[in-house]
Amino acid sequence: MKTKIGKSKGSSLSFLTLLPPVLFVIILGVLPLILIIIWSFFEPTEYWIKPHLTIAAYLKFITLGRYITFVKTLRVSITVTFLALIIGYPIAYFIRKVVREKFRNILLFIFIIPFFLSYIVRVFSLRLILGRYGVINNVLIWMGLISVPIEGLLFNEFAVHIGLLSSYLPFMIFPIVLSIERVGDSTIEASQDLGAPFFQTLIRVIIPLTKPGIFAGCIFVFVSSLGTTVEWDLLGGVSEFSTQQMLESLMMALKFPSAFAISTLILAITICALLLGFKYAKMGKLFETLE
Amino acid sequence: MQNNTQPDIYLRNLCKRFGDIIAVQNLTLEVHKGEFLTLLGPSGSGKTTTLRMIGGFEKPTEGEIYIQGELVNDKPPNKRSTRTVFQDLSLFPHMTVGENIGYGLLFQGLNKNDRKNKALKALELVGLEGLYKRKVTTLSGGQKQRVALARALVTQPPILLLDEPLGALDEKLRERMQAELKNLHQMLGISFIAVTHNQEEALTMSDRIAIINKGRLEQVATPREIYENPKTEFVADFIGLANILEGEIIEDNTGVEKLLSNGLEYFIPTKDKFNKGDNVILMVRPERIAIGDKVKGYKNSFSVTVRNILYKGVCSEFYISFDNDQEMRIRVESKSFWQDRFTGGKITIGWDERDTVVLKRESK
Ligand SMILES: Nc1ncnc2c1ncn2[C@@H]1O[C@H](COP(=O)(O)OP(=O)(O)OP(=O)(O)O)[C@@H](O)[C@H]1O
Ligand SMILES: [Mg+2]
Repeated sequence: MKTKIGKSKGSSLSFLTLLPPVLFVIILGVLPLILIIIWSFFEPTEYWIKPHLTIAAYLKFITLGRYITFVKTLRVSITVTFLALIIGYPIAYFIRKVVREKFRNILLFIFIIPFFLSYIVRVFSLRLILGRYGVINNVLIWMGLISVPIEGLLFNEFAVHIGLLSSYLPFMIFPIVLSIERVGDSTIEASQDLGAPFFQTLIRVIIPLTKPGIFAGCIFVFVSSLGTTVEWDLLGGVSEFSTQQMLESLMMALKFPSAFAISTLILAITICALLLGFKYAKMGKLFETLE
Repeated sequence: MQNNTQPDIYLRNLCKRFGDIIAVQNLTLEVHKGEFLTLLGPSGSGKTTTLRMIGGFEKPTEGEIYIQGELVNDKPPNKRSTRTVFQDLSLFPHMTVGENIGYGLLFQGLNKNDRKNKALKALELVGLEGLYKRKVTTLSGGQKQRVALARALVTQPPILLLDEPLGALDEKLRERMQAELKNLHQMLGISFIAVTHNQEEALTMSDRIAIINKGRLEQVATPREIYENPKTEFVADFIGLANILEGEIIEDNTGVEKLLSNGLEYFIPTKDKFNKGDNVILMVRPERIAIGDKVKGYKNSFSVTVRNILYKGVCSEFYISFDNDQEMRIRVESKSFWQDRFTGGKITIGWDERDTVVLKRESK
């Protein structure tokens, strides 16, 4: 009996069971984004906004020089993403293809541990390393390489880069580990067998086959770098100011359309990056089952 | 050595251990130029490991590997003249058929045009004309198999290594590819070293078969030698069907040799030199045993009880037991008038003593 009902009404039943999650995604995920985009074209009132279409918020983005901060944040995020890729790829390769299984999990665990800490504490701890009396300066002095502490390590863009890298490097490593897992040992061996030295195997076989992981990692790191404030707050010092911080102060000043305009731009860039990723790097492959 | 020329491959006292596991032990083997040699053995016997050591993917724990006279122990795979067809084929999924086949030519410094021409020729060689531009992921199992072959052969290696080359194919295709591989081998005249655990495949394709058991080489010989004259009990038992019984030599140097097993006496070939009292095994193939009138003239002839008959079309298999309860399997051509009435009845069986193999018992 049960199976019969299930069969005949299968489609409507599955529609009903799908409805709550679909509604959930639409109301809590998609709707706010759409509202933000729409409101960014509205006019500000003293405390809220009124539905009168204008591109004033976008003009202010240019005329008031907000784009400078925006571009700088983009630049830093791109640089960090690139550095994370350069550093993360070899680490991921090492973890997946060089290290024995026993140590592999230990290594992966090491990269997860920092997430158990409050991110504020985690980022703050970098001050203890980069600071005037931090670990680096102390070690250098102890080694006799310098006599006066180096000042330029903290409270500048350099420190922000380091902070972002240390926070989001794992986001690069994990998807790449997953994608390298999909490249069979014997595929790599076949390349070697056909006369390819390791570097050639890397650029002709391994990297092309791990593009989905590379792209996923880049997106994660880029978007996270774009959306964070804590690294700028704690490591950037007073002179460094990020888009996210700008957003927060605009919201606090109740300049909603301006804040929404900037958010819309961030959204547009992120969506473009994602589309490129799915189109050219076949990022969807990362979620397919291993054959 | 059968000929005076240098062997293509010479393995000397090769050992490979993975921690406590001994995968290959003291293996010494020569592969002659242009030979089709098959490594055959049960699962886990070390065939793949041996092949991987030749290809450069595993480092021997002990011993030496010479390829065309050159010691290659420390050479990486890309510096060896061997090419491998991997068990899972390992085609590059992000490349077309043409790119896969042309891949090895990249590192021989060929330009684009030459690469394409050679790849097209290789495709023709394996019967896949017209598939140059196809994505490898869209090919059938048999086509992938051929692309893997073409990819390895296009670089004109002097030695081709094949790990279970036909393992993934269905029975029909497998048989066709066996013939094609053998043809290819004859046409190219290079050495093929194949791994298989399918003995029929080994017997069909190989010039010589190396039987490996628990990492040790049991025997290396032509298929006929392996089948007719197994040198160890393992080989006798492993290849084909075998009736094996244990016994003791009871007469020697008196013109006839006899073996006593569990109260019954068997004649054995006089060429085997054993001493009285030696513990031996006797092996006789089921299809070499005759029944009924054909037994006339055989020194070995016994009256036995039929326990069971399995009809298999071309042949029938008789499960019989001797008076001393020794059991044997016999294969004879089926006759349309045979019925199950044989079962439980008595028949006469016998065999030419030259069709038996007698080996010293291995201490176990
Ligand atoms: N990388 C490895 N690490 C540990 N043990 C291994 C490794 N490779 C092979 N072995 C072991 O070595 C032995 C021989 O393995 P090998 O793969 O050579 O066998 P095989 O004859 O090819 O078997 P099959 O017919 O099943 O493919 C096995 O016991 C196997 O478990
Ligand atoms: Mg194997």
